[in-house]
Amino acid sequence: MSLPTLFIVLALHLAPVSPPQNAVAVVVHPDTPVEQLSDDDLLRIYLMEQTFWNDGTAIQIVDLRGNDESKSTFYDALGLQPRNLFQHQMRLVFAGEATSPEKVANPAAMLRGVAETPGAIGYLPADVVDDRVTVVAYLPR
Amino acid sequence: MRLPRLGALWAFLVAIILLPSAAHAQLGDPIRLYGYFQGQMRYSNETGRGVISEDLEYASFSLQHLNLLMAKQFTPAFSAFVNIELTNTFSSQDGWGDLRLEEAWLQYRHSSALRIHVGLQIPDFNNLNTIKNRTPLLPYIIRPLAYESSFRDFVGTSNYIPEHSFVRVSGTQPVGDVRLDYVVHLGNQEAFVTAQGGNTYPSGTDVSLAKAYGGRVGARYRGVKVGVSATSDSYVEDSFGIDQVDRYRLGADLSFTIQRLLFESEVISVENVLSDAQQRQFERLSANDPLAGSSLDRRFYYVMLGYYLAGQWLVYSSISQIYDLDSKITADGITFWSVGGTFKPLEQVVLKIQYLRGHLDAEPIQTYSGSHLLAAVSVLF
Repeated sequence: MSLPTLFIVLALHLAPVSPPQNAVAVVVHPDTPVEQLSDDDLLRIYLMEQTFWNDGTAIQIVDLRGNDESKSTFYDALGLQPRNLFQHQMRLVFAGEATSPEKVANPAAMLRGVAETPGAIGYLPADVVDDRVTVVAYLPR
Repeated sequence: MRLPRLGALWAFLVAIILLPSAAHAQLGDPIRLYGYFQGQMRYSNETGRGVISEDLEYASFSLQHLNLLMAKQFTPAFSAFVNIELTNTFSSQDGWGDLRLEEAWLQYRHSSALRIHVGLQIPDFNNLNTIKNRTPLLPYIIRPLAYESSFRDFVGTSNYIPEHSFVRVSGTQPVGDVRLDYVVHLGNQEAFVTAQGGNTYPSGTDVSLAKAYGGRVGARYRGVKVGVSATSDSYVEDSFGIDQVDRYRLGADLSFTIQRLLFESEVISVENVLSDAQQRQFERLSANDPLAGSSLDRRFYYVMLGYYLAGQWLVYSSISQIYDLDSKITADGITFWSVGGTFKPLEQVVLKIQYLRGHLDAEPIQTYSGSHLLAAVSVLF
């Protein structure tokens, strides 16, 4: 590798990662032992196939109650329909297999809910995120 | 009858009061106590002519279901679950309704691909069996025929669907974007061959060595869900008194949501395999019975088409039919079709309305037509 190419590669790696425009940040409680999540990881979590983090903390999904642009962006990126998914999740909840998603009214409540609930995961417009939560993915990728 | 029911209720209430705090102190996560109920009002107008000639017109309120659910996570791998169901405005004082232990199991979860449940369970069979009593998940007030517990005596719902199992191995395996599901379950033969109590066996004991087993394999892709199910067991055919008839239930289900369109469907075929001696017994007895049908087999299907309107409204129409071939009354089918709607003013509340029309035409032996208008509220808590 030539020296200029090496510099370019290094520069690209060291540049701060900024979210795509109109992206949604997937966020978790700051004590959650995870740094990033793939689409497959997120599917497993939201389909409630994975219900615990690696440290044994129960995963608590926090979701927006009504329709919202960040909600559409998040579920579209994962190829999920919120109505279908909620039916699937409640089927598991009533079967004793999972904990009910926590529904909140708006992104501010989502941020507060994820920041204050150990094991929580949610999604937020990228410009709403602050250091009370850990960003583990941006969608769409 | 009243004392045991009351005893069970008291024990349950004491358990609810005492267990959460004690368990919380000793085992970390508290017991999750939650549930749901559905209250309904119905107006019915029914006319029967033939073997049963009766005209009925009535309106009634009832609390159709109240289910109390308790879930406890011991570790990420082990959990337990209890589901207690009270039906039809349960009151031991008045002799109304039933109190049932629907589920009580321990789960070992190795991974999402391998889960093992032991204890009392509702077996997976097609799409509706495990959720037939989860009223907030269903748009119906009166469910498709094979799943409607109030038709239990009339239709013999347990002939169509398995109701209990005691061991279940299940899992989900992702293959690309598709989720493959499998379930295998094992349990007692259904109620006809269980002991009713006495000195020899405790009540509820399956006094046979044969066991009921079955399973389902299915796939899910985005909004589409498809599966096939099967069970095998033996039972005492009560209409003709034929002992240990081998029975095979085969089922298939398909449901999907595309944008605002919702579609659900199921078929069930119940095949009875008679030995030569059993076949001779059936032919001899049915020859002397003017109402006897041509075989012991049964068929069921239902189709539902729904549409999500703006907001939280769903409107739907459905049809379900059963063909009970052991009787001339039901061999040509009983048909129920309905139209209905649901509205969710809150995430936890579902308001329902349903108009249902039932029809049976087995001239000149029996005819039946009935209209039912129902309204209900289903609440999860």
